[in-house]
Amino acid sequence: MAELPAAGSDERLRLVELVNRVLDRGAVITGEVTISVAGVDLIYVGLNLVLTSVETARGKPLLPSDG
Amino acid sequence: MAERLWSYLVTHARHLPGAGWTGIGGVPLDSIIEGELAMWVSPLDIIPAREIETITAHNDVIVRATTPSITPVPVRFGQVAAEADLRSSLRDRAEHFSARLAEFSGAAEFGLRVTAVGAGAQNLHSGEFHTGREFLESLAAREQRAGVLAAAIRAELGPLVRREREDPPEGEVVARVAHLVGATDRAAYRAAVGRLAEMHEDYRFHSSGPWPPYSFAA
Repeated sequence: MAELPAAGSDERLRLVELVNRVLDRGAVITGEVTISVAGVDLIYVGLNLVLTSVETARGKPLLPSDG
Repeated sequence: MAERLWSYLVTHARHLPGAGWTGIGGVPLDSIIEGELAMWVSPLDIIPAREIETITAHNDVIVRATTPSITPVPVRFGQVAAEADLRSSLRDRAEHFSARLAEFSGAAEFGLRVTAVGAGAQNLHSGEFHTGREFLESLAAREQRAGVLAAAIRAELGPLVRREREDPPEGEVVARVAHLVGATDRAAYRAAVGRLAEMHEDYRFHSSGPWPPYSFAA
């Protein structure tokens, strides 16, 4: 991952503002949202709060398998 | 089209990606058209990591799609679905998206973050409290200061914005507001923010933007 600008710099503040907007705001099109915990991408499926890793989901009907 | 699609934005049906335009990971952009609306998408078989590069790439598509008369409705990062589901969403929420497109035309989002400095930074409802009463009095004082500041912001900027979204204060940040500002009001808006900063020397005003209107898309 690219190195972030120095703490307190205008560029770092701009990136913080960008990240906050892109990840937390904007229209939600589907009930399925990708979130990341400890660097692992997880799938949050609607109100069922079904959380599974992307890799696990590929082996189940949630996502198509690679093969 | 691929089985699963990453969505970036919703716009008018006549507004489509240019030839050769790409999105996250350099994958070509495509579009789904449903009635009067279009959604810009990329076929993505692998959900990308939430790193600065992919986050920036997502936003770059939305920025690139923005014209003087069309400000698309930004989609939140991470929206991946089958084409049929995306089409269904466009149909079911056509009224909402059309209303947002009309509201966003020629406008952009600006963020305002105000932090307390100098004398204003004292008693910021942080640090140790010896009694519950101290805690509550500090909280009340902070909320009162935040309310006075919010009123000043609204008085100065209200006439210049189409919509406002206020978030609760947090730590040293005593005011967090997103404004939807039309192109013809931008210069006046920036000047008004400058006046607010001059009038309130105990606070530092951080203005950012223009952004796609993420805060008003839902």
